[in-house]
Amino acid sequence: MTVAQEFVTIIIPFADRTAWSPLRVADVERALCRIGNPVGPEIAAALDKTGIIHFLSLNVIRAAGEGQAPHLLIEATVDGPAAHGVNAIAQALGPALVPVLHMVTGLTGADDVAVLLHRHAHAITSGPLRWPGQAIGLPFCGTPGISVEMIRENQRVVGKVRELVGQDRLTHPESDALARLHRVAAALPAAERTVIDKPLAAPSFVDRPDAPWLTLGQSWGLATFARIAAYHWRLLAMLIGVPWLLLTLHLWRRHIGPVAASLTALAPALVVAGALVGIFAWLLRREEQANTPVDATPDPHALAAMLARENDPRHVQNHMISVTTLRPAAIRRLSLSVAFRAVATLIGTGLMRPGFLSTIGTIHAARWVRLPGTRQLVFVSNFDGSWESYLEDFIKKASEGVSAVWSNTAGFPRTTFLFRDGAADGDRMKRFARRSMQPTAAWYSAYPELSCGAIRKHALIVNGLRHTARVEAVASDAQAWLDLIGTVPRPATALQYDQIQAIAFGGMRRHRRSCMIAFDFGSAREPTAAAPHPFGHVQQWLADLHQRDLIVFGDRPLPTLVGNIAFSARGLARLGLDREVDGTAQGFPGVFASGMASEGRRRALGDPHSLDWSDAGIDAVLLLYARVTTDGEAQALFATEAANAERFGLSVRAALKTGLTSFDAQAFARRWHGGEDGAAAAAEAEAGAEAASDDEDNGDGLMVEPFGFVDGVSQPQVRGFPGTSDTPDPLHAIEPGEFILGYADNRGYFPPSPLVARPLDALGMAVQATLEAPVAHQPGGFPAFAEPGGPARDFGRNGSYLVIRQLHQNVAGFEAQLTEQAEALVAGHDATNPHPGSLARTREWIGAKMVGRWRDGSALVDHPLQPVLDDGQSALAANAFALGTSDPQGLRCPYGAHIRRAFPRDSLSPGDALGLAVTNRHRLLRRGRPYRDAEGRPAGTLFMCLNADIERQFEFVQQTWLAAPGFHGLEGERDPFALHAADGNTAPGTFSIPGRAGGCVLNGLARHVTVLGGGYFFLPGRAALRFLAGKPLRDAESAS
Amino acid sequence: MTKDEALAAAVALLERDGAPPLLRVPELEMASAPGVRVFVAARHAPITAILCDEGHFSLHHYDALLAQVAGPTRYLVGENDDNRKLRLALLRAAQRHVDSVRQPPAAPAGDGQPNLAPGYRDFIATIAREEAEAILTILRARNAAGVPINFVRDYAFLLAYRMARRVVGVPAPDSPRLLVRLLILLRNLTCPAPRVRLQGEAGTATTMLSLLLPLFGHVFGTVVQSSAFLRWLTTRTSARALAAFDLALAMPGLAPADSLLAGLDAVRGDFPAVSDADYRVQARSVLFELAGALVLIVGKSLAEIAGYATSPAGHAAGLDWDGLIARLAVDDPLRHQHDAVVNEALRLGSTSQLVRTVREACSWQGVDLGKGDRVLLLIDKGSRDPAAFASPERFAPATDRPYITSGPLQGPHVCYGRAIAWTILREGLLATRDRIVPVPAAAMTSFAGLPDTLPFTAA
Repeated sequence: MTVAQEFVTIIIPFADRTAWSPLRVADVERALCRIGNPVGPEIAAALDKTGIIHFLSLNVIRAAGEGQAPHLLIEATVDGPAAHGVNAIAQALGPALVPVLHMVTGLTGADDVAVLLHRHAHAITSGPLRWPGQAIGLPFCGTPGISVEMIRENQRVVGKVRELVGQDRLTHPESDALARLHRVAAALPAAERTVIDKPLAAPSFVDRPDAPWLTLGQSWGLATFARIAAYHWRLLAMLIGVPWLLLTLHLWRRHIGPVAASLTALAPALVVAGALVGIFAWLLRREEQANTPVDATPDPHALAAMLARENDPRHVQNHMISVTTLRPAAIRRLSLSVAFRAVATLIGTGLMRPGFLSTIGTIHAARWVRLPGTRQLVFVSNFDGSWESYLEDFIKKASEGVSAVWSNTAGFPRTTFLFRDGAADGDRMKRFARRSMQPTAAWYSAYPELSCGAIRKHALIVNGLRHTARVEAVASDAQAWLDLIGTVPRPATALQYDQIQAIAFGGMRRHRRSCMIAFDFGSAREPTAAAPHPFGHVQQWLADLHQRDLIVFGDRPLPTLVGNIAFSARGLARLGLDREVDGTAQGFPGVFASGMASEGRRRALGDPHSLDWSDAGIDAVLLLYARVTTDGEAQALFATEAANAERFGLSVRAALKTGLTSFDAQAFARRWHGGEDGAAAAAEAEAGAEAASDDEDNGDGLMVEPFGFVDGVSQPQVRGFPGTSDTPDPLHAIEPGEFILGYADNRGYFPPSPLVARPLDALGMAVQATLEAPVAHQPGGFPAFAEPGGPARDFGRNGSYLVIRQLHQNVAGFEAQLTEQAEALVAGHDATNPHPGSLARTREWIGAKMVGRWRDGSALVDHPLQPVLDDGQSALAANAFALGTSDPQGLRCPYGAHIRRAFPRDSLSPGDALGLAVTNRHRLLRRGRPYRDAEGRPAGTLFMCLNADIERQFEFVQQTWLAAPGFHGLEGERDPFALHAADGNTAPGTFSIPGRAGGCVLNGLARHVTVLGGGYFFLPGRAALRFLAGKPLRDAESAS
Repeated sequence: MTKDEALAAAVALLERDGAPPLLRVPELEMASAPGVRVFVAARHAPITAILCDEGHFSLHHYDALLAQVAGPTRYLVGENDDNRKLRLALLRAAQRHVDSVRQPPAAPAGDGQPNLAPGYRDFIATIAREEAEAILTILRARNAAGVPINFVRDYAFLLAYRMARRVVGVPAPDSPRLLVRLLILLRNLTCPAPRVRLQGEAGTATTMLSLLLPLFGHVFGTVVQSSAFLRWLTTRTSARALAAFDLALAMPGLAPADSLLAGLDAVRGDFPAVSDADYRVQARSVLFELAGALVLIVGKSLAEIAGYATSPAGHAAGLDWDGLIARLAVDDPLRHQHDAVVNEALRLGSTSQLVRTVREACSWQGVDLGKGDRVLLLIDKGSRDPAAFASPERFAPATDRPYITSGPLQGPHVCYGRAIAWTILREGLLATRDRIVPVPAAAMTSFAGLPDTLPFTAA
């Protein structure tokens, strides 16, 4: 049960209608000012005592002209029927109102106040026709269904809850939201419990899956129009039905049968209805063109008087009153009603969230009302924050509605067809508004310290407590409830940093020494009552990792040793998700389940038949990153972790030592300037690379891959990731859902995420209590705690698919090939070569053409002839270049260059924003590192990337761009730089370098990259990892 | 010889060198009051001496005249008996309350009377400016619509009423009774346009003025006794006016919180020894007198100053409208110069007389006086006494220029409302600057002894 708020609008004309009425008006205003804005403590106490008045203001509206009466306007929002509100106002304000009413009407007795107020109370209607006693206007309530009593009780409860949460935070610092909610709810004192136990319905503004306002912003679909048509069926019936009926009767009288007459009349009736609408539009437009906007500065004295009454330090709210005069044209009577009806329709049909005007959620109560018998249109509003922010909200979020109403008044900025332009001219609209305003004489707020947001938040918190049992069943709901205490519920777009493994947010470049350890879980064990899971030893290992905080998530600084973990399909199946991996409707995708080494994927990727290791024989990979000074320290740490896993019964199937190598800009410069001795310099640079990698001060520098090119320059800028708070460039801005499950992707949809829709209690795994709700049931900004959720839980949430490929690189072969090709070009005096006299530069130029960047990362598009020769920072700073529009013919960056294949940007459809959007559907979040051989030398790249859809992202890039012989119109070419040599496809390749004189083609190119191992893995979120750890983790946490 | 001719002859004699300070004028005596002789004073020195000599000259005359028409109501202009002292105490207590309510600005309180304090005068000036501004806005709008501006009715008396309404806190009755309507009908029939209408706030001001006018004539125009008709008329109109004050006192919440009425209501507890009935009578007397003074005397003075400044006589004295406004516009925080301008304008432009009653038979400055004899003090004559004023016909405001228009500023009969009035006069005149101006050759007309019309127009 909720309490409806109603609007009390009392409009009392002054007895004095003479030209001297301003003097009486001034007297009344002074008397009202004595009541106070805000009202004095005595009157506030009297109004508080009513318990039903939310806001109340008293103002005098000056006469529009001689012979017309000024009006005393008393407006309030009250709980329950307006008539009760009038009585409450009379009772609370009676003695204070007598002097005012005496001056207005001659009233002298306090006993007569209620009668007088009732006599002049008006209901507000937005329709063009109204009953006596009604005034045309539009009321708007920002906190519908929440009574003053509820607001105060909720505030009290929330105060207690905050206190309890604070205490619980001290006693249970590591507690999760579920447990904290449980304890707080249990500890509530009886007085607050009484409030919780009231059988009240959920607030009307909470998120509901079928809420029409949630889809309004996305489309004005047929359903929306149908909803509006249903809301206005009477109007439509009149508009079409009356002409239809008249025409039918007319035809019937001409001896046409009733059925035929009615059918025949339908089309003309529609035409007539259309004509009526057209006439209205024409008359309105003509009237709009006749309007002369008044663009004058508000009177500074009047402005000062207003400001003197705004922004009371004890109030988070403000009040405004504006009085405007309707334009004299008759059509304005209708257009004003149309405007009111339009806004009322959005409210009445639920197309706006209850309590919100468009997306403006800072209005407590507002109303437009035309004073009966006058052309004066009054707008009064109780809103949060400053007037400036309030008006800006209107300008940016609801300018059409404001224009529709206010454009009917004299002097408003020019408007087109009632809704367009007008208020969109924000500065002039604000000037108009200020000119029309007057200082609020007397104003009362029942809860001056509460904003709309706070009231809603309190209602949500109490509603959550009211449904504790339901909220406790879903971790995300409990977290949303707890979020309400200290912040706001997480919007769907906000990342749960604490749930996402740290590798998603960065390459951990300060943890230069690293390794990958691939594990086999070993054989299943016989389940026991104490260890019901056949792979309980793996769960114990996971619990141990979790207990030791080795697996690091994105919510804390990186420790010395960082671990991230991912599971293959086989590993997840062994841990209990066998049906999800292989068969359930909403489980893992087939590409993941089948694995990278499966025949189908092998063919798509062009991989060799056999690999040294793959996901087919691997259950999990542990990625370890150490920030230590020496390699020995790092290896000791890594070995300890491997041994630890083995202690739990796991086996190491593969281990790769990885690490970062710094780019040596000076060596590259020497190579560039070194003429024919460049090769020797290059060798020196290679030798020095390992030493440079020990330089901790270079931790933030760009890294170099084994062939000697700066790597990691071009990465997606994922919205919401740390470090991307700046305005992202349109080229690289990517939604998190492209990489992290549970968030919207570039197209606004949530990527499919593996669900668990069955109990796994027999394995000691708590599906309901540990995993979060699927996206559809994730709490939004206004969680519906009372709404029952589905049984399925989202295993994939905050996780990602991790692709790992061990790519061996033949550095010597690659360098030798560059030299060989350079010598040929120099010898042949090829006109395409800009450095025909320098073998070293020709060599670098060929390498740059293959990659699309120089070794220092500088892009060929911007630097086609020579590198910048820095440490790569220039490349980082200038990564927003376009390829298609900047270099449509590939004259600078060849079509076949690695970076053009890996991420074509706009190259495939130059100048087309849609083309760029298509390209960005295939972005990869690369987290690879060079790996080293047994001697510690760079031996290749452990390619790693995160994606939400392996087929659409990694495999697409690999197959359709990098390896496609016909990419970008090329013929029989493949990526000359990074593509591996697959089984049966080791034939020498070609590489076209376009040029003005026909360019040149490098023939006989061998590939120097070989895939040795890899697989598809799932990088789980924290909740999923805890879920996999199952009973052992719960037992361990209970014990601690 | 008529009374006026006799009076003129007496004045002529009094103004001669070596003339006695007082001269008996039998034509002013009345057969209905045998034994009461009437003496006249027209020179500055004897007038001032008589006003300051309460040992020989009493104000019982005013008490008696009020008793004839207004029951127990008394003015501060009366004998300094216990009731008068109570009324004065009430007034000061009320003003203390007002001072606490009005949140006085930083202006100094001054060492003297609270009503003379610069802070209080600033408060009054603020109200006066507000009211004047509001009225002038209306007048300019009406004038733009073709309605002429009558400075006297539309501004001077309206502003005066509005100030009384706010400072004292008692409104006039909203609906004028028959007597008032007849009076205005008479005025409209006998006086030139524009007609006076009893509508709106201007009509309310006129109603109040009309109700007070007979009493004003009865009390301040009577030397020995007034006519039976005037007493009847005054009784009726005073009763009506006093009813408004009774209503206001019964409903103090209707008054502005910073008004004297609200103050009197608030300080009731400070006078526990005074019975409710007596408190009510004395409070009503105070309010009635002050309201009357503001409505009638301030309005009249404002109109007279304007009339004089726009008249040929004023021009001959060296005063014109623009010059008057310019003199009042000078920066003068303590208002001494402003007051001097008002003093001087009233000295030349206003007429008034005061009456004293001889307490006991005596010889005063060589003139034998009997108990109960009346002394008529011709203030406007004394104000032009060359013995006291250098170039008495010239407008020459100066802070050391003597002034006697409404009595001394010290002693029991200090004029409580004078500072208020002077403040209103200054602000009321100054507010017209650049807003309204006299029409060319504007001339003031009178009705029933009061200014009636003075045509102005929007600037």
